[in-house]
Amino acid sequence: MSDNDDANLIRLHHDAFGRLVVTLANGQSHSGVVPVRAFPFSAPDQWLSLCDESGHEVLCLTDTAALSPETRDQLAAELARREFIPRILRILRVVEGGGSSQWFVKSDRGETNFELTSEDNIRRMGSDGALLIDSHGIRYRIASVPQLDAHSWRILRQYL
Amino acid sequence: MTESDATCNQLPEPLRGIVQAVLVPGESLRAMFQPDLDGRREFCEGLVVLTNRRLLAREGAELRAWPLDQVTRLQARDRGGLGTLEALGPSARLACWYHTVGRAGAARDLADAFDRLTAGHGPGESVPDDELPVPEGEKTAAPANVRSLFRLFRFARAHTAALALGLLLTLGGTAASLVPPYLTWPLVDKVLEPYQDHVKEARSTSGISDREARSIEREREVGFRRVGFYLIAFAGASLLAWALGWAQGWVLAWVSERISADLRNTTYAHVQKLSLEFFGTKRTGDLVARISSDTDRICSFLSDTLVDFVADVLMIVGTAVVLISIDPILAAATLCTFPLIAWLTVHLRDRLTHGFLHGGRAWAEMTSILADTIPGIRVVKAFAQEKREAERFGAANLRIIAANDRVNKVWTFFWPAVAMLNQIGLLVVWVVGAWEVFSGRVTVGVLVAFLAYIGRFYARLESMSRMATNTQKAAASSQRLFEILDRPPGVPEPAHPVHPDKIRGAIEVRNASFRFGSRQVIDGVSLQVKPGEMIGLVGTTGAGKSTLVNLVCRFYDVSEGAVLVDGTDIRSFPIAEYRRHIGIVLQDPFLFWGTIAENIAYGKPNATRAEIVAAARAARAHEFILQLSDGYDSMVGERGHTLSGGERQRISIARALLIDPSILILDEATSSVDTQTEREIQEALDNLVRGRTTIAIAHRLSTLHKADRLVVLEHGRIVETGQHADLLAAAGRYAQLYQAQMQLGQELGSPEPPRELPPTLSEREGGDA
Repeated sequence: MSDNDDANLIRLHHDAFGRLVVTLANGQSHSGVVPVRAFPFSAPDQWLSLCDESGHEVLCLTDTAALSPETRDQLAAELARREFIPRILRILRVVEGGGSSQWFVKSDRGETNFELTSEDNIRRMGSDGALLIDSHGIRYRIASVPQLDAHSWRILRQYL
Repeated sequence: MTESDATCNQLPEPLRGIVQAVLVPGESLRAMFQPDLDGRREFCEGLVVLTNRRLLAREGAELRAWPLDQVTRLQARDRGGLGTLEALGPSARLACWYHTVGRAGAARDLADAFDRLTAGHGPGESVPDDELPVPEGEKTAAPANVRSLFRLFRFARAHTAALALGLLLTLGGTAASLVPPYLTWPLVDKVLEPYQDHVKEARSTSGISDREARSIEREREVGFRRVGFYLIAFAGASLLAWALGWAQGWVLAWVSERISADLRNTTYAHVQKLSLEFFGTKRTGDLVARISSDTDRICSFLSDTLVDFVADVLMIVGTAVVLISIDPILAAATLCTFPLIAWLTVHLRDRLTHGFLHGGRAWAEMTSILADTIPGIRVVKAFAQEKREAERFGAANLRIIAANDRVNKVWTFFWPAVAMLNQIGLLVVWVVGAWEVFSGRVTVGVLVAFLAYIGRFYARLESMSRMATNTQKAAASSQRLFEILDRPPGVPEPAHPVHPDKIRGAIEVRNASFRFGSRQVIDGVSLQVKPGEMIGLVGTTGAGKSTLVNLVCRFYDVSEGAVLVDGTDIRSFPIAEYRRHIGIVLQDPFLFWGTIAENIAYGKPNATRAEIVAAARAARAHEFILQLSDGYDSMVGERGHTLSGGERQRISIARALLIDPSILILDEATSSVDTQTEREIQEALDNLVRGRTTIAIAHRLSTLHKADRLVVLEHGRIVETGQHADLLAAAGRYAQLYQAQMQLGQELGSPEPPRELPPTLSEREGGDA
């Protein structure tokens, strides 16, 4: 399954239905594959897995660096199309009420607000990152908590 | 030295004499047993002695004896805490002795000695002791019988410097705060009064001359300057006292925070070391309450009360010294209520401690209900018992109220009583002071200074009496903590550890017995497992299968006999090093709050991602993990609620695979999942079992098709051993079990023998959260 030696021979393209097709080093091809990050937070750029429509793993890439640049870009584009994890740039304010809290933030995808149902939905990620999961399961990332501006940091500190 | 001499010499003095008196020449002692109940099951020390010729028994003053050829069998049994030892003759029972279960081992030893004596070994022949020496366990020192609060000093030792600094600051602060009232004395007597007298005098001698007026004016200026000096000193001393008080408060709060954290860490680490038996008898909520709220109480005691106490004692002593130096009679009047207060404090202290201990237990009971019902909320809801649980909680709360009401009554009486005594004291001082002023023994200034001091003195006394409450609370809390800390770990670390380098996985259970309370769960089991062999343990519920694997894992220590791995008694291995070689997959896998990767790497936290993924692949967990929104970084809840039973099971198999154990324990690993999932898990298990010594327990006999050997347990004993086909052919216990399952399977029309238990609620839930 994982075949990193010949990773530069792996090719990706979309077929006429818009499905992603992977051609492995041995010439075998699988259509309708989906790229999945096995460790989306702790190692987002390693351990990429391509799974077919029924969830079976077709290929596991421990390191995308071994891919040909073209394939790597395609894969990155495909992942970007599939992922929605806004990065929080600034926390504007938090309104508490009835056990949940409403967060007003500025993110890399624009200004938004969301509801956190419990403080358990704020998690530390790695050494200084954080992850917020809203009531619909949408995840918001903070790349580095210490690098937030003072105002945002003061707010977040009460929850971490 | 013969065996009998050795046995005889080990006896304590009064017994040795008694035993030697009944022996006839040429007779030697073989074994001895002291029943502690008489024929009416009342407590009474007796004696049963086995010699190479006779069986002797003493009950009260009476001595009975039977020649050995009259006795055919000695039979030791116990049930529900009461044990019996029977001596049976060829045609009738000769005698019966009763004992409490604590002496059951000795009774069995006597019966064993009798068997050895009559079986082959002729009388007078010494029986070689071929039993393995039991490895010595690390000794835990007996708890010192000191007041529990003083034992907290053990934790304070690490912070001696900071504590000394705190004390120094307290001393300084106390000294500084004693200065201001002292200044009122010269202020009144040397400045205010003389000036006032002078003015009065001048006024009374009708008409003030210019010279006198000027002198008054001058005196007024000088007096003013002096007043200024005193008041500045007054303010300065107060400021200094405030600054020192602040510094002292901060330093001591800092220390106490650390001491209570140490206390929590030590208690928690100790709790982790206690045996499973301990957790079986203690309720979770009680432990949580002890580690969290009891340490918190101690923290607040150390930071506030203790410091205040020291400050108060210093202050009271200091004030008393100053008071006595100013005027001993007034001082005596001030202190007149002190003995009363001291008596009251001592008198009420024990009642307070008991009350607070009681309150602590009531509180623990309430948290226990929380810890019980919140994880079990699905059962509560399924049986619609919300109301009853609320009532149960309410009842526990009522007990807290009752316990606290009782103790509140005591201390609410106590504080106002002290305040009233202080008021009386003040009155006495006024009376004595007024009398002394009138009789010219003291000046008004002295009285004023006295009254200024007394205000502080009584305030301190009052705060000390309040402290008595907190002190007793903390004493109760630390007693509860030391109850845990004093408990020796269930399985002691070896005193002379043997470090296992690589374990091949040869297991030998040698004549092992284990009793749980008064129940004999494992009774003389011997079993040898070759490295890489897979053993299936079969038997009805309660036959002792789980206990046997618990003994192999060393969750408990055998009561008698030994468990050896690669020829070494497992009690010689350091526990953690030994368990590192054991992988366990349980019926209901427990996942900790954390990511899936963390859960898989639980036994080996520094595992690489490649190792984690490889283990997950072998456990057939990789692909379903990839389907989760955050892959291996997905959080799983307290009990892994977002995963199905089969998924959790496969994660726990990956966890066992990752540590690459040489010994593997599968305790009903497949019994809580459906047949389809069982197939998947079976595949994962086949990967796991390969090349490892495996002991598997299963109710569904079909799960054990790969076992090299099946061992059938019944009532803690091995009744059959062999392969599936042989055991079926033997038509014994296994064949019965197998037939019963097959029959049930056919009746229900299922192709496979059904599980023993109906599906539990938990496995139908949580499949696709």
